[in-house]
Amino acid sequence: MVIEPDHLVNKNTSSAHDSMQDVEFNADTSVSGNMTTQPASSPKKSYNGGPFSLNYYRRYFDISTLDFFKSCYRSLNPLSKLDSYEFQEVGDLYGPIWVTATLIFLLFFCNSFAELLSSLGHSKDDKDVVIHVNYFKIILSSINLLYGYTFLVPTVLWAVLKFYLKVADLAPLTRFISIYAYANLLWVPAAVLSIFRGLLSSHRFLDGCLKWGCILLGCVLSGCSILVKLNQYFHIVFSNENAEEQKKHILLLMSLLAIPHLGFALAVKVAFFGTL
Amino acid sequence: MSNYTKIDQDQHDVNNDDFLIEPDVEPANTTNSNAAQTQDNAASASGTSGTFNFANFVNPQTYLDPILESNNVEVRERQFTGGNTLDESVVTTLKRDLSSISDKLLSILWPLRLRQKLKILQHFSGLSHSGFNTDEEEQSGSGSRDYSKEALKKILDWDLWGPLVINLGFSLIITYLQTRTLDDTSKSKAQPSSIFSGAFTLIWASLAVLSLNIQLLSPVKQQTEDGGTTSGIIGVSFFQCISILSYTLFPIVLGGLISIFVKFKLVRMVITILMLLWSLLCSWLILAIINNCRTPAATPQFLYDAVTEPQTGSDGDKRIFLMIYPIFLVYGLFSWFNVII
Repeated sequence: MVIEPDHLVNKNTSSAHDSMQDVEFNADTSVSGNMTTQPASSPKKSYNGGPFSLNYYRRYFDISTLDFFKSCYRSLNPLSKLDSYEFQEVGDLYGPIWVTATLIFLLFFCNSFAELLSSLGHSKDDKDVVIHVNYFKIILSSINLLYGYTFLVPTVLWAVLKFYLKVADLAPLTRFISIYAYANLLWVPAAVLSIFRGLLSSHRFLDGCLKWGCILLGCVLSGCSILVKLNQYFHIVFSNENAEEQKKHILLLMSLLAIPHLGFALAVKVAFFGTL
Repeated sequence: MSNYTKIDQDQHDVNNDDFLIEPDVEPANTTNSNAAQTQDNAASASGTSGTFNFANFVNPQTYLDPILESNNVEVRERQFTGGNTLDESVVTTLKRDLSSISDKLLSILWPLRLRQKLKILQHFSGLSHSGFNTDEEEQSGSGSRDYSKEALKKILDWDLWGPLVINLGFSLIITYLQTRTLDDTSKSKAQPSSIFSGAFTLIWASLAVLSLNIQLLSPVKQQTEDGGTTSGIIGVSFFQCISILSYTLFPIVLGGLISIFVKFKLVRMVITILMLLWSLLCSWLILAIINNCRTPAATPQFLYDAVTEPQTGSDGDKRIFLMIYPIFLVYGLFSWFNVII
C-alpha cells in the first residue's frame, strides 16, 4: 500500500518511525535524519560542488520561515545592533533579494495606487491632473536603482576594507549585503505613507511636502540602521588602533558611506515621484 | 549492456536451428571473455552509456551495429513521442500541441484535483494527519492513486511551448493595454515595441529568478561534513519550475484578457484579485506536493502554521512560505499591471 512516486522520496524522521515507510530507507539516513530535526546538534552541511554549480549557493538560502521573520523583526528597530559573532556568519541572500523586491513592489504599488485614487477623484477632462505614466520605465529603473545600491555599495565597502585597509578577520561580503538589504525594510512605512498622495493631488504644496516627508523618513530610518551596525563593526575591526586613529578612520568611512545614501534617497525620489 | 544481448544471441545459436539472421561479421570477442566481462561492465554501464549515446548520435555508421552484431540494443529517451510529424499536416501538429497544452493547463490549474492529489499522496505515504477525512480516500481507492501518479507525472513533464504561448500572450495583452492608455493622452507618443520588449523580458526574467529561488530553497539531500547525508527531496529542475510557474501564470493572463474589455478599474481589481488568488493557490499546492509538505496546503490553518510555527513540519514545510512569497510578489505585480494600465 505504500505509494512511491519516483520524484518524492520521503525520508523524514517521523516517516522513518512510521512502519509504512519501509522501502527506500536504510540505517544511514535514519541517523542523519534524526540530526536534521534538531538544528542545534546537526553537523554542518558541506554543499558539494564548485562555484559554478547551483548547490554551492544553497548555503546562502539555508533558512527557514521562522529565521526569516526573526531577522526581519530585528531589523525593524533602526538602532538595534548585531551580536558580534554574527559578523562572521555568512548570513543569507534570500532576505537581501526579496526584501528589496518587496520594497520595489510596495513603492510601485503605492504610487500607482495613489495615481489611481487621484484619477478616480477627477473627471477624464482635466488632463494635467491625471497623469498616465509609462509604468515599465518606472519598474525597470527602480529595479536597477535599488538592486544596484543594495549590492554595489557593500561590495565596494568590502573591497576597500579587504584590499586597501587590509583588515584582518573581515566579515563575509554577504553579511554586508544583508545589513544593507534588511535596512531597506525601513523604507516600507514611507512607501505606504505615499498612498495619501492620491488624496492630495490638487494641492501641489501639500503633495510636495508629503513626497519629501516620505523620502526623508525612509532615508533617515534606513541610514540609521545601516550606520549603527557598521559603526559597531568598525569598532570591532579597528579596536587594535589607538583612540585617535580609530576615531579618524571611523568618521571618514561613515561620512563616505553617508554620501551615497543621500544620493540614493534622491534617486528614489526621482525614480518614483518624478522630478526632484 | 551489450553483453547481455550477446549471450542471448549465443544461446539462440545453440538452441535454435532456424535462427533468422546469420551475422555477417564475426563478433570480436568470444563468448567466454564476454561472460567474464559481464560483471565488470554491468558495474560501469551507467557511466559509459552517456558517452556511447553521443558517439552513436555523431557517427551514422554505428547505427548499423545493432543490425550487424545485435549487441547495442539501447533505448534512448526522447523529448517528443508523438510519432512522425513530417507526413501530417501542420494543422494536425498545431492541434496536438494545443491540446497537450490545454490538457496540462487543466491538470495544473484545477485546485480541487490538486488538493485531492496532495491528500492522497500524504495518505499513502503514511503522513496523513489525524484531522483528515480518510473515508474519502478509502472510497476513491486505487484508481485515484493511479490517477494522481499519472497527473503528477504530467505536471512534472516540462515543455516550453506552453510557457512561450502564455508569456507571449501576456506581453501582448500588456503592450496593448499600455499603448491604449498612453495614446489616450495626447501628451506622449507611445512606443509599443519598447513596451513589448520590456514586458517580455520582465516576465521571462522574473520567471527565471523565481525558479532559481525555488531550486535554491528546495530541501534537497546534502552531505554533511562528518560524512553523512541529510534527508531531503529530489529537487525539480530549472525548466520544470519554469513550466509549472508559467502554467500557473495563466489565470493572470486571463484576467488581463478580461480587463481589455472592462473599463472600470474597480471591477478590474476585483477580477484580478480573484485570478491572483487562483494562481497562487495552484502554485502553492504544486509546490507543496513537490516539496513533500505534510500539512494540508492552502488552508487558512496552513497559512497560520507556516508563519507561526514552521519548525514542526518537514523541511518543505519550513520553507514553503519562502517559496510562495516571491511568487506572490511577482504575480501580484503582474496582476497590478492588469488593473492600472
